[in-house]
Amino acid sequence: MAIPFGRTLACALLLAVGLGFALSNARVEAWQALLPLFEWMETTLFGVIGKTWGGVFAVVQAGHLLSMAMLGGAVLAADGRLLGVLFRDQPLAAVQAQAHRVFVWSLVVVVFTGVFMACGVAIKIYYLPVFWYKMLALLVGVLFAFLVRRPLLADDPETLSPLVRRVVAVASIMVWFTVAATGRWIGFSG
Amino acid sequence: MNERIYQFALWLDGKASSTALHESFYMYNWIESTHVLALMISLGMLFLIDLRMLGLALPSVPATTVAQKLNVPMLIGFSVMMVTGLLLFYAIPVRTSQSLWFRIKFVLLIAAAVNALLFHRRMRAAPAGWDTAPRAPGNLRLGAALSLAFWVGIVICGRFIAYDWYDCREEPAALIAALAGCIPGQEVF
Amino acid sequence: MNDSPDARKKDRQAAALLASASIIVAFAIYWSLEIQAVREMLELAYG
Repeated sequence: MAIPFGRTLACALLLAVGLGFALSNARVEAWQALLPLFEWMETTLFGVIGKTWGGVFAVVQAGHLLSMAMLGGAVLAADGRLLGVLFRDQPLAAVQAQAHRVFVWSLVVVVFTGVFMACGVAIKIYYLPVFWYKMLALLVGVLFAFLVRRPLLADDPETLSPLVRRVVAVASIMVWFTVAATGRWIGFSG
Repeated sequence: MNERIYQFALWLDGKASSTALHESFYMYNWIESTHVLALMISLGMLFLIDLRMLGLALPSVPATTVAQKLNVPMLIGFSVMMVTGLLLFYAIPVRTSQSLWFRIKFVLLIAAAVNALLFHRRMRAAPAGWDTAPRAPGNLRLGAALSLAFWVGIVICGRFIAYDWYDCREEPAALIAALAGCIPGQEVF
Repeated sequence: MNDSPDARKKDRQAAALLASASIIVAFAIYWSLEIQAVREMLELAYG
């Protein structure tokens, strides 16, 4: 059995919880509770390598950039098709499914290299607001990609209303652009 | 040659706008951010094309369609990278022109450009009907793999430019100093 | 009690619309605040 509009209700609930979290003291408490985790991150193998060998850190950073470029390519190709500016003559479902595969692999590398870098500079980024904005954008992006965008396009996407298509594509591009741009800004801060 | 490059860099360095760019509060960061973010467009598109040739992405979309459609955003991204890249060089000309990594990056960029030209020529010469197969013919796959390798190298070198390990100021070993084009007795770095 | 393909599809579309609209609004606010902060900073720095 299914609740009518269950997914929409779940989405609204999640938004309400997120908003409540952001506007209440719970946000600050959660942040304070995370300090030991970030202190521990610097003592891990990744943290020690990242702090000791600048060259290794830079190579991982280059890997992070490259996989981010790949992710950007997958997002732009998929959302470009959704907006109707790319691959208009190709079946929507096939382009989405194939771009999604590239997206997932890039995301795996992005997150892995990202965790490595975070371990090297854990305490620095812990105190940077822009780092938390980025994590929030990343979380929103991942939830959106896997729980909203993917199911929406999984079956019979050709019949979707053009409005929904466009709004989803714009939101998706916006999220991943923000993830990348705030990431760049972490490097300039602190 | 190195003397000439150094003189040219010194001349650029003497420009007021070069100093202003270098010391400006936000401009330098913005240009650098734009340079890096344009990577997501240009390299994102390029990698998709290369992976398509290797049979690793978008297998059901014809290879020529991928190459043609993604070419436009890729070239837009590359133009942005080129302009911002020149500005970044202009802001810090002496150190950059004597950076070993910048020099390697420059060579790799030329290699990538030649590879891209050859790739397009081969693509036009390829027998009809190749582009619906999930994998491109061998010579195109080789070009795609080289393109990926060159660009990985370019991004790594670009990242390394920010580090001062082999700067002329640090008086590196003779071979590195020669490759980086350090001028004996130079006073500006 | 409504899990026909049509209802499921409507649900997914509504969820997508809600999530996307929220993202667009929230991120537009975020970026406009960032731009505002940069402008103020520039004003402080250069007058």
